[in-house]
Amino acid sequence: MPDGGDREGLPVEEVITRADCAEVEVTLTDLDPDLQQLFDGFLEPLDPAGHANEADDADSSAPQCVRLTYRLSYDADADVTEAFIYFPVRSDPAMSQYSRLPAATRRALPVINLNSAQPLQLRSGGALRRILDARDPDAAIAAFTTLSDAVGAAVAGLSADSAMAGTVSQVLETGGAGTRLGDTAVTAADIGFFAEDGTVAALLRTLQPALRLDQAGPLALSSHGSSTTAVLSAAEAMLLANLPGAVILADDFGDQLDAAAAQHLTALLRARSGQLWLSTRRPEAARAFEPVELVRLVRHDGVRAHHQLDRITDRKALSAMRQLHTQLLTAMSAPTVAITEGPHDVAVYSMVDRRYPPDRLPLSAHGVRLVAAGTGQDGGIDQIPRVADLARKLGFRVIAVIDKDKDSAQAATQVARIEAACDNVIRLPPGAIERAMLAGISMDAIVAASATLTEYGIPDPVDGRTGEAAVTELCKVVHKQGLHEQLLESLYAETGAHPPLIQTVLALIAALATTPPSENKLTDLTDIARPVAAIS
Amino acid sequence: MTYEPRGTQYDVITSSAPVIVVRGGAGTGKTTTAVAAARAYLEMADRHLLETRRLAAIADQRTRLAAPQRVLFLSFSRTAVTQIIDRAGSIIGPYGPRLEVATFDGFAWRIVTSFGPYHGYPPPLSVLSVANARVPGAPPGLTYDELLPAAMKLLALPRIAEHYNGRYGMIICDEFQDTDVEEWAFLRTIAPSARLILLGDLHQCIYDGFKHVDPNSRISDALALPGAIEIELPPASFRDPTGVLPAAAEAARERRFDDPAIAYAAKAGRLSITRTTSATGYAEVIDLARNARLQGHTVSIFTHTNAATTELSDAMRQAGLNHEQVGLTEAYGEALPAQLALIQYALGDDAAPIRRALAVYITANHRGKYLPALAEQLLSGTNPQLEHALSGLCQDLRAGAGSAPDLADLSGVIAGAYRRVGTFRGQETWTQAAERTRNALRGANLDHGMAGIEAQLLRLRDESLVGGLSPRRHSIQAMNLHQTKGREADTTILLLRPDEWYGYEQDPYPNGSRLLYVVMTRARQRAHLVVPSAAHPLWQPLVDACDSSRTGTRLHPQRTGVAEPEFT
Repeated sequence: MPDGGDREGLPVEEVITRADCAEVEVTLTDLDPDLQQLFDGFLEPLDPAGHANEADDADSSAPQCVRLTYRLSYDADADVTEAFIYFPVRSDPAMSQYSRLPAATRRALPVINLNSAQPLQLRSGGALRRILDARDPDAAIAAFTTLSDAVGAAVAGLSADSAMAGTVSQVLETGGAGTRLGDTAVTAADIGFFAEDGTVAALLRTLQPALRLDQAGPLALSSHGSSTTAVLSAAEAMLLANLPGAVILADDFGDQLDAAAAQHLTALLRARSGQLWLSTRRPEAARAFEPVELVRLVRHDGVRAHHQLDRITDRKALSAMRQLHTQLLTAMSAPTVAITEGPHDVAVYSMVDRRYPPDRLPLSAHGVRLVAAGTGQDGGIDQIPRVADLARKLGFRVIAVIDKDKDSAQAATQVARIEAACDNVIRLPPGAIERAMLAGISMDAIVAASATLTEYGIPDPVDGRTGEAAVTELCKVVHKQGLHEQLLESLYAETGAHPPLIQTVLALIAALATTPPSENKLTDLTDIARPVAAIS
Repeated sequence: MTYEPRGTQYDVITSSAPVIVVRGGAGTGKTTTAVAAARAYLEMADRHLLETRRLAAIADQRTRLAAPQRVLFLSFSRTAVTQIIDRAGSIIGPYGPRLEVATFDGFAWRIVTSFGPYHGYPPPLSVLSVANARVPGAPPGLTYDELLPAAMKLLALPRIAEHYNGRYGMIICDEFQDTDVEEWAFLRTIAPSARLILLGDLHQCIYDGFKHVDPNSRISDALALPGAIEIELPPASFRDPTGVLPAAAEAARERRFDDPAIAYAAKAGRLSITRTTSATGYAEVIDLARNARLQGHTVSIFTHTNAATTELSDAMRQAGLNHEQVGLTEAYGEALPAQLALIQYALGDDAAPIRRALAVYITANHRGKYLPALAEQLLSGTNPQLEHALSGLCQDLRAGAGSAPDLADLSGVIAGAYRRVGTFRGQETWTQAAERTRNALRGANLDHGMAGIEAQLLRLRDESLVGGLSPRRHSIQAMNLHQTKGREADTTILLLRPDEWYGYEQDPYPNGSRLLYVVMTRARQRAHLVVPSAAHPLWQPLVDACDSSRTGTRLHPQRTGVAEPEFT
């Protein structure tokens, strides 16, 4: 039901499309010699685009690759799902003939799943155990044997302890239990204790890591914060990633890490692994990647889609690409970005937006993130189409908020370019963000608010004057000095209300973000007159 | 199997020479020693790899490491080597999966199917058997003669060469003395940096008459390679630890028929002569084979030609003696597409190539330069009786094949089809192939049409033709005596016929006498010769020697006090 509900009260027929199966094909390239030999019989030459070349005249010097397809099918009659991996090069799905990937080969793939399991595990298959085995398997076995012997001796001592033996004897004597169990009477000397089933493997399974981080002494890892676990897991993964060509998979990476640790560990993982597949909601983690390495997964109007940037060689586009890390990454988990001309605009809209709750919903509730087209010198209306292009390529819904410049052919062209690059464009009345802040505010309030700016070491720009010329002067000073938030603070103090034009802009952004794009992209806002001063 | 190397066997296992020519008589354990050497090599390579990885792990370095090493064991007969590898399972142990056994043709085919589709051999690829090529209307495909050149062409490509060179650290070649020029070149091309272990016995070179091999120069070529060494294995036989039969065989090869070893083998009942009373000798062979099975023996039966083996196989089948006919890979392989054609016709394909496919199968069961008459008649439709039989078969094929065909019935009709239209010759391989066809039909999903069954049966055909697929192994095996090498059984039976031809060689048969040696050294317990009143002069002196040595009762050294000669 893509449009989300019925219209005009009519029932909407639900349309469900069933697929026989879902398949995901991957091509493994840059194969380690070990892997290449495991895939003997299934290798294909790699073409320059990074795909398997199925032509019969492939480049004889092309490196080898292998394709694997994951197939998930559902038998509705039997209510059974089946999932397996096969080699497409030796399979014919149309004939239901599959050459399946053997489990042993799958296990040999150097794939490290950086999951939420506990790090520092000695059990078979645990990351620490794998690292230990790689460093010195013989020494590992010797250490485990020593541990097992020591535990055996300690447990034997426990069993022989008079308090323990006496208690066990009492149990055995109760109701003649000891005489009924074996061929001969069972005594306390016949009873010992094992960790689980007594094997070394079981013993190692039971051991859990403990850390001493401070004066609290050693505590089980699970008693420490989630960041500790996440950092250690990442460290283990990095060591395992030393396998040439290792692929690391991490889901929701960074959720348990602080921003700095998330960025640092992601960068390390990326640098040390053959390939890193990392899903994250953290912009800090995304920062470790090149822009073209990011794939943004979105759902618009009920449809799932993915977006990835192409490699850019255009010089102007490159300058916009810089905005990715500074502006767009922070918005990566928001469906919509509202792009303003500069950081002062973002400061004003953000401050008002912050003061909405609890009476009103802020932009974040509508999935909108405010970003500037630049950070200062590199911003401005000219930069908006470039950042908007970038944002749309990443799957954002894009709304631009621009100033109204003087009517001219150049301005018309500029607006046309912005309209082409965005889903919606909101144009303020003549004047920049500073005038928009003051629209619909009484002169008395402006005069009073202006007077508070002297706290910042500047003369009062209005200085008691009540004409529009004084307002223009105030706008210039605020713009030049960057005192937008300070003036806003004073205006709030004077009026006790949100600036009406800013409020209108925010309401419009929220409305546009939640409605499908229309043909008419440009919304021109009109100025709001100042209230007439009350006659005393 | 417990294996303790001794003498120079130990040298083979521990040597690190890049080329080792291992020479030894039949049953001296060449293959077993080579398997042990393969294991020693893999263990050493693993230790080296482990240490490299360990050092890299400790140093926290990203290192692109070599793959674990593998050993390639090339032979002319997969069945023979597999038989030995099975018994040597305890020797190779956990390294079994990394010891790859293949025939020359099979390995070449593997290279072609793996890499050919991208470098000049577009699919569908198929092997064209001699019989298939001989019958008019042959489809495109690679003949046996084209397999090795095609594989070598691919191995000349850098990435493919790199792949195999990185895969194999050691290549073992069985029956090295029998490799021809092309096989020798192929052997050196697969992985030029791999160590070579070349197993040979000049006394067992029995193909020089029709394969144009020169065993002496081949071994000289190998020994001329840098670092090559030669190791001679001690003569004692693992197959027959008493040494009785090997000693008799050695004497027979040198045509010293008055040698005490032959006399002793005959007196002790280890080497026996049975005169044929029937025209064919089949009854005697069947009787001997049954008696051997009653004693729990495995049995190998040898004849002079494939045609003779096929006829004997048919007789054994009629007599209800379960067995396997070894070496007719072409007949077995071509039975599969013939049966496929019958299925296609049964399921409504009027264009199914029944006539040609059956003609190919019939041709595969015959030797000679020309098409067998029956194959000609099948193609031309000129034999009224054959046409009648074919018509009846076609009716039966279609009878049960409605919208929901009864696949069990169809399998039955196909299994009996050849009997109805062919000569009796070749029924055994047809029956063996019918088992595969039945399995393919069982697992088939006909909702997807015939393509699945077709692909499966044609793949099996290709694998069979290049020796990559063997039918189920039986306790009784029948084969052409040129296929005996590398095989062993508790009891062997050689059936000789009066009209056999062994080439133009004259007495003292310097090459032909190797056949006597090879055949006599296959048996662990007893070697029987079933002979006509007058055997070929190659064999007759041996028959005479046995006859004259034999007494009315068997001679038991322990009971008679006759001391057993020292043969080992």
